[in-house]
Amino acid sequence: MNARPRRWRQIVLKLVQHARWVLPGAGSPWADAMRHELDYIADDPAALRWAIGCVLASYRVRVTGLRCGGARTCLRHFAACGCLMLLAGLALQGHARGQTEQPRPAFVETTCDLPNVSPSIRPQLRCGEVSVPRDYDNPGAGQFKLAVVVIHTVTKEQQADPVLFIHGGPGSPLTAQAARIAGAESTILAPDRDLILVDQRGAGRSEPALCPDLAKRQLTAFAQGGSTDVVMTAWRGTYMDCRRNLVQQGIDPAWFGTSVTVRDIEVLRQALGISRWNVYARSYGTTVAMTMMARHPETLRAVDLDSIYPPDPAPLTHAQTFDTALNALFEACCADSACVAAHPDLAATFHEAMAGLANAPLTVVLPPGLGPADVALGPLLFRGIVNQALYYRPLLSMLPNVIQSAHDRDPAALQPLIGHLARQFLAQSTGDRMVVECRDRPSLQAESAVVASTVIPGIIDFHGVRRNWVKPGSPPVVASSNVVPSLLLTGAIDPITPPPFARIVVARMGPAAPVVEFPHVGHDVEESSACGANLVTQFVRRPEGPLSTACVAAVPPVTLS
Amino acid sequence: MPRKPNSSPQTRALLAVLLDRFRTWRHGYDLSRETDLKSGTLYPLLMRLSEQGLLESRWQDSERPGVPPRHFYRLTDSGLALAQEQAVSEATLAAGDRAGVMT
Repeated sequence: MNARPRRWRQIVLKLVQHARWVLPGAGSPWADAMRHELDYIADDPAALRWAIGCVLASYRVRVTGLRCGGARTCLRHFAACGCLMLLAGLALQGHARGQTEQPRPAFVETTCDLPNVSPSIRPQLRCGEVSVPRDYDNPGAGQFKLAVVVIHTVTKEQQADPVLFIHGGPGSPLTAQAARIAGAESTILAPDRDLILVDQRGAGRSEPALCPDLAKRQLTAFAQGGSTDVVMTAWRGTYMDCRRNLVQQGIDPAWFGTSVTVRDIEVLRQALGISRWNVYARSYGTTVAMTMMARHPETLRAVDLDSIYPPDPAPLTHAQTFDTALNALFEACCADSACVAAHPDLAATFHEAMAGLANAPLTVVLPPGLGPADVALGPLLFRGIVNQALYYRPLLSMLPNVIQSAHDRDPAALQPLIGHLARQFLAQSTGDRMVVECRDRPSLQAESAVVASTVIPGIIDFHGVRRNWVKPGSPPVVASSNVVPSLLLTGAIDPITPPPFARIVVARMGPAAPVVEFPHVGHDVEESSACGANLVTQFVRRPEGPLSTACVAAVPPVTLS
Repeated sequence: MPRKPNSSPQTRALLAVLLDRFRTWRHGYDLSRETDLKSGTLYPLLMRLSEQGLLESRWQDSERPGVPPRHFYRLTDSGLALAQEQAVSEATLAAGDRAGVMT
């Protein structure tokens, strides 16, 4: 029943993609505008007429944009350019879609200067760089080098289509974790296939280094303590300093955002000479993957979306998702005889702990090497720590004791978790996170978002700092009538991307993208659950085949401390 | 003789539609239906008017969850002045035509 409309939409999609290819640079937001209109045209023949018009519009704009002298010269230019572009478009579209500038992208191999690489893992890794335009609208602005690691499969039955792992954050880089991933996750995410890791521009080992001292300065702001207002004002100062530094270095914050990252990834695909690949995307990475599905569906064999972060506006604020996950923890404790015996009213304990920390912050010593020697644990930081611990089952299980320790003002008991989270925080590119979120999500700049987000550090607007950073750009998208085989995984107690986020994406993509909801699982389903990992592997092996989901119902509740 | 800028029938039709509800943000498909201009004609016009500072645009979220944002347009102050000038001129021309028929 769906075959005919799907074919129509595929043709339509190819046409608008061609229009986008013809209309690079300053015209690309207009190409996006034309493309987005299609999502509002339900009638297939009308959509086809619209798409043909988009192609004509793109050629028209491209050709009339050329400078020429007299009428005859202009006519000659018009005819010559039109013919050349038609020929070039037909010849290259399949290979260079989304790519606007010469020379052809290349993967330049480098030595693998990565942490914790053992001699047994080293032969599996191939490291390198791919150069991408700093500004796709202005090829003269120079290039950024993106760090890439390919983890080769050791199987003899190697499949030709590799898997691209798209990291979250924004600003949570991957390549530095190549050794761990090669040792543990690569066979799950990419069975019989190579696994490709790339740090998105502005993150990790990729250029530019977006205010590399930012996270440390922000941690120091916590160390210095003070009221929530004082800490937030200090963080705001770090962001404004960061922005000033970028401008001084000639880096324009408008060069970032999911739409740009998708173009970078398309350059990477061409540089590696891959015609079609698979994608495993996690958290914010799913925003990138969904935009790839809309813009470059022909390059994708299968897409696995884990902990889905839909484009703006999200159906719930972070304050709401956090409260839901926290209440789920309290309920889980009530249902667990050992937990309820140790913490008869965990919710009350939490609220009393928050009040106590507001009254007098607790000094918690940090492990050496993190910068500040200790942090002042106030309610803002504690809420942030609880939020982070709710992400993952192993940390979640510790939370009742952590809450109790904060309540009882026992800093030694809190030290291991806070040290672990501080180390994780310092590995983030928080400048990249800010710039990408600003570009992608206009709603975060609204007054209501400022109020709603002042509960969690990291998601805070810091007294409207986002409005002073960079204006929103071309937004991420979710394709209607998705044609790429997809699997969506979501954790029922995820404090940041809970099931309602996946549901709105599925409602848009259609029934071809099944969503699997995991009970008792938070963020990053594949990493938090053996069953989730099993589904990811099944799906990459046979994206069109039946998926055995029997293990989902057997996921056990978290054992709480 | 070179034609006066923004005086083609298509541009005039577009300016007239934008003028009609000039405070309202309008999207491309809506303008296409109302002006009867195909997207191949409409978008180059929108882009040109925008480059000339006569049109402002913005991305606006859909009211339907999961549907991507849409690009909306309306006249700037200078675009409004031009559209009004054109409307006045067309009204005068129309009046002149009627006068001619009458004589």
